[in-house]
Amino acid sequence: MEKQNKKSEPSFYVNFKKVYARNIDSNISLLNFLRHNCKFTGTKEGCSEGDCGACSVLIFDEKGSLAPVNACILKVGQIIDKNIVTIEGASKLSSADPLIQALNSEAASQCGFCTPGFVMAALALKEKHKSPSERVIHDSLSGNLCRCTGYRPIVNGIQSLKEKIKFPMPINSKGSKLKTAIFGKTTYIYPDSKKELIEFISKEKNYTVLSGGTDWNLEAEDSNFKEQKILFLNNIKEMSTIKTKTSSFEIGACVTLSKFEELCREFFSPFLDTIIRFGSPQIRTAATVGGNLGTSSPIGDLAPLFFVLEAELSLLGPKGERTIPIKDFFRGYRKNALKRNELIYKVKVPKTKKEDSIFSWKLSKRYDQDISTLSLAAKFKMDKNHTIENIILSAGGVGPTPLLLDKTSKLLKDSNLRFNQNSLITALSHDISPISDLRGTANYRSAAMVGLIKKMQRSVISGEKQHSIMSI
Amino acid sequence: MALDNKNNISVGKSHYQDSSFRQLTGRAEYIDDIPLSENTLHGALILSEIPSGMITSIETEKAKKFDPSITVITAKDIPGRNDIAPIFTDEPIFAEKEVTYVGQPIGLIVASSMERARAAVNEVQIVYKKDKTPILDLDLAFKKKNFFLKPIHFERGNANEQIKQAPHKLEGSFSMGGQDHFYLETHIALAIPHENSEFTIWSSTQHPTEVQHGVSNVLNIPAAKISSKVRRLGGGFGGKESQSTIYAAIAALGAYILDKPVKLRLNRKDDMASSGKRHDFEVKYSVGFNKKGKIKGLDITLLSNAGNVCDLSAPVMSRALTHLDNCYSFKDFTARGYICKTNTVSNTAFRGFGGPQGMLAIETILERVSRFLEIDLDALRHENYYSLKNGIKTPYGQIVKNIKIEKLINEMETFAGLEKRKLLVEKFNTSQINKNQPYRKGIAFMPAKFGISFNKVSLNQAGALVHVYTDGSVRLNHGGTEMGQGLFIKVAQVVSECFNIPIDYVHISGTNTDEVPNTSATAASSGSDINGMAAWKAATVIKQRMLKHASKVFQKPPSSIEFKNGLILSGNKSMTFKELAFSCWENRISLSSTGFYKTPKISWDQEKFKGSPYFYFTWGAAVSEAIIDIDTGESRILRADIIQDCGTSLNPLIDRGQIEGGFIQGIGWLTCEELYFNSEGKLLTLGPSTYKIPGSRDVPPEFNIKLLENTPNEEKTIFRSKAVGEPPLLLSISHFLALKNAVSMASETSNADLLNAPATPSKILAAVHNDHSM
Repeated sequence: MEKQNKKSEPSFYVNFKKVYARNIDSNISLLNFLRHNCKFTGTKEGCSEGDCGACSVLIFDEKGSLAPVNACILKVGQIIDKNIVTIEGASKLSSADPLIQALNSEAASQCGFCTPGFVMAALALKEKHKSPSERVIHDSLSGNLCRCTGYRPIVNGIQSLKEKIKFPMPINSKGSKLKTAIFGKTTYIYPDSKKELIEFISKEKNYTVLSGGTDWNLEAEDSNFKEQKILFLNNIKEMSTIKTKTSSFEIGACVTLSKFEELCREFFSPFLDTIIRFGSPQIRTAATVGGNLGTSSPIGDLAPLFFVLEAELSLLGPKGERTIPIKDFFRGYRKNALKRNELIYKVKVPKTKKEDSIFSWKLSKRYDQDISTLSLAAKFKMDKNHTIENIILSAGGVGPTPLLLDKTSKLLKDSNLRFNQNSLITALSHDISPISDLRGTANYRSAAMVGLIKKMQRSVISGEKQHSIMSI
Repeated sequence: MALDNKNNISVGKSHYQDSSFRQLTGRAEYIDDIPLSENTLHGALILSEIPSGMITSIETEKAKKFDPSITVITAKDIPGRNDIAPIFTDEPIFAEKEVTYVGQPIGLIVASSMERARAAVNEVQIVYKKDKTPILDLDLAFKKKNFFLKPIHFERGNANEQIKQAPHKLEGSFSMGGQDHFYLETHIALAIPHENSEFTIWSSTQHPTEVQHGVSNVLNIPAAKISSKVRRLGGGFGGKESQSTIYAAIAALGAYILDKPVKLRLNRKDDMASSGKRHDFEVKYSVGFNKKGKIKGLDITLLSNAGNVCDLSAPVMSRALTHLDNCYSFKDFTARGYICKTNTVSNTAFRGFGGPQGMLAIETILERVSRFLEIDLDALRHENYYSLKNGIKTPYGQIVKNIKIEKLINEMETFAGLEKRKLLVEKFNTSQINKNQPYRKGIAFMPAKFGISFNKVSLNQAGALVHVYTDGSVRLNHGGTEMGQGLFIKVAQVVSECFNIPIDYVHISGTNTDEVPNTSATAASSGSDINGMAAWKAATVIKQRMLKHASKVFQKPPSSIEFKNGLILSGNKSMTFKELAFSCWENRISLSSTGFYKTPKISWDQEKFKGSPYFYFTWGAAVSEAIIDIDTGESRILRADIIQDCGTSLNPLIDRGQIEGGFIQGIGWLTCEELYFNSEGKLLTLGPSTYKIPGSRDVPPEFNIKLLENTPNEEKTIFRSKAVGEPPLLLSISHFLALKNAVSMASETSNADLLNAPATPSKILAAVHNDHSM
């Protein structure tokens, strides 16, 4: 009897030991579970919104590779049967010792509250890279904030270490078989096939669709104690994989930004900076392609990229899949074409052709781990005489939804990029309707959009990549 | 005490922060990590949603329906005084009838878990009668003469007459933003009730004594029964000087009413909404000068945004006004300070404490004058530096001694190669313009003088308690708090030096009001100056007793006996420190002593705004090189060179950490950190997703730091060291000046006057385009 109970009880692994999620009265976060239930208090809460990294822990993926993730915006319901490593587990590993000693020698810890999170981010980096460049170190620390040191001793400590760090293999990294789990009044449902998914959405009405949770879990505080059903999608293989077809990629909606980054590295490299700046490694470990489109924010960083690539979305409803072009998906501020009981299933992205060039630029107050103030993406095709045959421009942060800049595209094409500034401003004024908010004024956004188009113009004319001042 | 540290056993050595290794392995215990007894309850705050108005009712039925076991606590439940103001009596812990800012605590909900308490708070509804005309900004407060205290006015000579007669004059105004402390550990307190109305209060505070007094007043229980403790803070930066008291008092009130331990940990949102920040300032000025940039007359008015209560705004204004001179002698000088009362969160201490605002004001004015005259800013500064020729008396009457400006300038030229780099920057910009490329560089030097001591004389005192045990181990306790700045290891080094014992003989203990009472806040950069000296005095008393006893044991005069590396030597005889300690005990000699220190030579008349408030000045200089992108307004610091005067450093590794960290914190204040209030007075930047502090990539790729060498403090400070906590932050102003320099070279139409702090991409592009509306 007890054995059977245990089998259907939600559990996961912390520091290579199995823990059961018992006696829980709410939709609890991994952070609170670690601190209160496991008494692993080395993992800290700094912000509870996935931005400071004090709560960073490591999570193994199904291939046994590890990545940092923010425990504050990850729910226990999302990590059933997964392997988690905290500072308590990591600092006991003899392989981690040289890193900790190096950081100590550099005085990389002052008040120390952010420190365990930095150690976890550094471990994840050093597990993959023997001798990372400064740039890669900054990429890997972009989800960790320190208010005391000024970072240099942390970066130096990591740099001084020239060996990779080895981790033990995770326990039982095969997928989870659990069908449901209950945390207080919250029920998680875990379909693991398209069939089960369709069955569920055909009969249920009130539920929340969840994958990475990097957006939805921020708002979860209000619903943690309320009766709710959460449909967790990550166990459906097809939704978490990228399929390469002859002329396109089929990207499952639950493909994480980390996985998408690998695809971009190979096939859409001009987008790579924007993808890395989508969010910190901790965020990219959890955040998904479908989630970013599904929230339908006017500044979702992926949308402009998909607009110019002319992607199509495959939406799944009780009656099966239907396909719509991405330009028809967004229907207003945080509104989209999803019908009741529909969800984004896949994104079909055509491969770029040899003669296509792509460009993207993200503009934010801070270079790393910041929400875009505005963004621009472009795809253009030049003929042999360097005349533009075709151009698509898309922008985020300058209207209620991500936009196609039709008038501006036409101007650029018709003038073959030899436009004057006033005609550009006029064309843009038809395409965009920015507002003023905490990220910038409307006038700033308009002026900066002109600046971004100039950058693109320079890049096309010179054929050289335009660099951000942060990467020169 | 030695003037150099060559033969020292501890002082001057680069020891690590005392618990660095425990922090790196997750084993350092913060207040939220303290194991709790099973009956511990958790609190969450009910905060005001409007900036100004009257509370009509607080509806808690829905919250009680959600969880019937919760307790709601409001102002009417307070047994003592509903006030925790540090200086005046204007700061209620809970708004009773009137609310005066969005985010003001109105009540506390106590529940079985933090999550439940917060969920219950979400169910509370407050009905208000809104005040239709809240005062949300400095301009309106100034117009309506809504001030705290009498405006400060002080002058020397006749500034207005000199301005009138000067060959050139300029006038203008500009503003500078505030700054959230963004310590990684939010405010937290754990209150534990004991028998006989005793309470233990664990709180993340820079000022345990003020917590003790606050709790004592609110509960109406004598201070002697309140034990206020903290082992370490997860960052303070001034934000936990006075601001932690209210949360400690609220937790204590919960514990008092329920007779159970109550923990109150604020989430980031509540912390940023309810707790004070760096004051935003507005500056109005008129200045007269000659063609070489010699300032003939200067008239400056500072407005500070105090927020809803006065808190520490008066001394913050005093420090701002006494740092308007920076390194310059202004003979004809008038300054005014208005502490404006607004319906926004009460601003408070923040690293620099008004000094950065005062210094940014004068540096901005001088930069403008240099652009107006089309002369080099450093040449202009030369005309005005404190010197025997130009004068060495500050406008408030203190004599500036041991001026190190020239030394800094000379060393900086070798260190940073300033003059050559100015040319390289111009060359770079010309080539960018010619190639139609969007980058522009700028470069700027700046010197900084910072006054050390609390502006309020009575605060300049400290106590310590040292015990030597019979095994030769030493327990050290003092009034200073450890918040990452390395105070504990520095003071331990002092004690280790006094007994000449290895540093690991000295056990560092957490701060508490039981062992050392009536302490000052660990603030004003004074931590190691005053606590180090108090600990030295305590250890010296014990050492003298031990020496006297050793003299008896060895039958040699004390002068022939030496304490050396854990041994006591006399001729060819020796014993260990442990043996001597044990022998002292056997012979009934006390091995425990307190130590007390008060800073000498300081005086201040706030009424006349005259005196010598600072025991000494620290000196520093920096060169920053910046780059901007005129397509987007993005900016970056490319290189920083800093030389800081730390006297004879107690611990160069720790001091370097303070310099780097302080500088980067200043860069944040001046560039990416922007507090954004909506038109209803609600702060919208309530977390790191919207409030951006610098990240690792924002640090200059080339970052050179040097401590000024062979400069022992001329005043008798502990081992002739100098304070280091705040001064380096002010050097970040060099980066702001470099940005202005870059903007001024951006194009023919750009206008660097439009660039105010924080220099966000938005503001930089506005200045480049000379367009106010951005």
